[in-house]
Amino acid sequence: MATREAGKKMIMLKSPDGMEFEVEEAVAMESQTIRKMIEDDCADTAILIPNINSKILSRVIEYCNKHVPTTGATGAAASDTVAPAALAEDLKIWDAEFIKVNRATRFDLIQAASYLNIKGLLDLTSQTTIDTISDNSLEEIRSFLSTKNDYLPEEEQTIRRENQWAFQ
Amino acid sequence: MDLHKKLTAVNLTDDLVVDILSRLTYKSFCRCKCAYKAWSAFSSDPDYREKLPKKVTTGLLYQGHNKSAIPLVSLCPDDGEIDGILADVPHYEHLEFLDCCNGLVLFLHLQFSSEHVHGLILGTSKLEIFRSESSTWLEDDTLDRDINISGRTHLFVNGMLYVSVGYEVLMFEGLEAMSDGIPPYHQIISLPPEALANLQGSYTMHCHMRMVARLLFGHWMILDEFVHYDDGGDGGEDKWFWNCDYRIVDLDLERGLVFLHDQKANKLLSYNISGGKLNEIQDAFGWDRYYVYVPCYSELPAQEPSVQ
Repeated sequence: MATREAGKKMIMLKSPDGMEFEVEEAVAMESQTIRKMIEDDCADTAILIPNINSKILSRVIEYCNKHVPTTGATGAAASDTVAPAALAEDLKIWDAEFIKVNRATRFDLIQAASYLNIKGLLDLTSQTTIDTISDNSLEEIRSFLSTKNDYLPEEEQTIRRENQWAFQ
Repeated sequence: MDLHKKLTAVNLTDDLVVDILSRLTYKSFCRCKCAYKAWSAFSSDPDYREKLPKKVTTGLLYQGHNKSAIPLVSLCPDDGEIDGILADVPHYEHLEFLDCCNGLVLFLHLQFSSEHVHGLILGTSKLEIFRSESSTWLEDDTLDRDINISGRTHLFVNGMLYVSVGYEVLMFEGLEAMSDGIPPYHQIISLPPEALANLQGSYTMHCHMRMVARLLFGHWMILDEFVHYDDGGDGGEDKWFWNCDYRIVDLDLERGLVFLHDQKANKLLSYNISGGKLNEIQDAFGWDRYYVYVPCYSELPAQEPSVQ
């Protein structure tokens, strides 16, 4: 990985499968969990991120890189020329592209976002899941989540009757 | 195959699943919980229930002619029919719906036993408040005078209730706190008779609304559009109230909505002031009074898509 410009503090993130990712501190601090570690001085130069494999961690870092607020000398100048609305629109398009992943990856991202406490990513992944299931039939919801129907037939009849209005 | 199992949502912690489900609309949640028993079981956990989508109890309250339970007309079709919102209040059939504000609903308690002696607000001869969590009535016994309000000689705004008693006005403040067992603060304001006249009468509410509508619109431009379907322009300020096709039912200032009763088609409509959009809510029931009910002004639910 290319060395970043001087003056920016770098942090090493390690996934349990042995991969190391060098990221700017500001990017890593998009995660409230890591921010807390750094602020509490619990972090050395390297932080081990348990439970998140290198494939998912690299996606998470990709997300944080895109979403870290552009500040500092050059950043301030840039935000003067680009309207905030256009910037937000650009991020939205980027997010939509970013979340085009298979559902297994999406669930992994949800877990990672939750563990690392990255609100934007959790919102994005959860909302996408909601959008997928909210208009689908029960069978589709079950197959999407690979879950088995755990209702007894008569139980399902009752709950369907109670919530009939929601199906109209 | 173990790998496949690992990929299911069930593998997400309950907290995470609830977090995801909490983003659904109430209607979608009701549908989704039919897919999976564990999801509907979340509703019985007090912590999770807080987070899960709730019935949006914002809408128009009204009472039919038969002293029925008081239904809430939802402003959002997604909520489905929320019926009998006050059906769990004991003796609701003796309550006449008068007004509501700040999540409180004001009733007149009709005592049929002693020849239509109109009782009081939220109770019989005392100020009482119904606590829905425990289904009990709480009585304010610090008030010893008989405040006999009849009809609409009251004003219920900003969580304060003004009741005219003879040449005086009784003002109640802090009614919400009654559900915590704290009696409301009340004071008596003496008024000159001419001021009292302004507070009384069924016209008060309409005057109040016209005033607010004027503030909102700046002038009658928008209302003029609603005066008549056909001969637009003829409905001047003097005439619109008495002779028009639309009647203002209520205002929701927080959301910038005006509720109208289309008297020709007998429909309830909502009109968005800033967006200029007219939405049909449902068929109206004649001249019943409708009032906007918002559970709590400080905690507005997100604006429903249908009324934006």
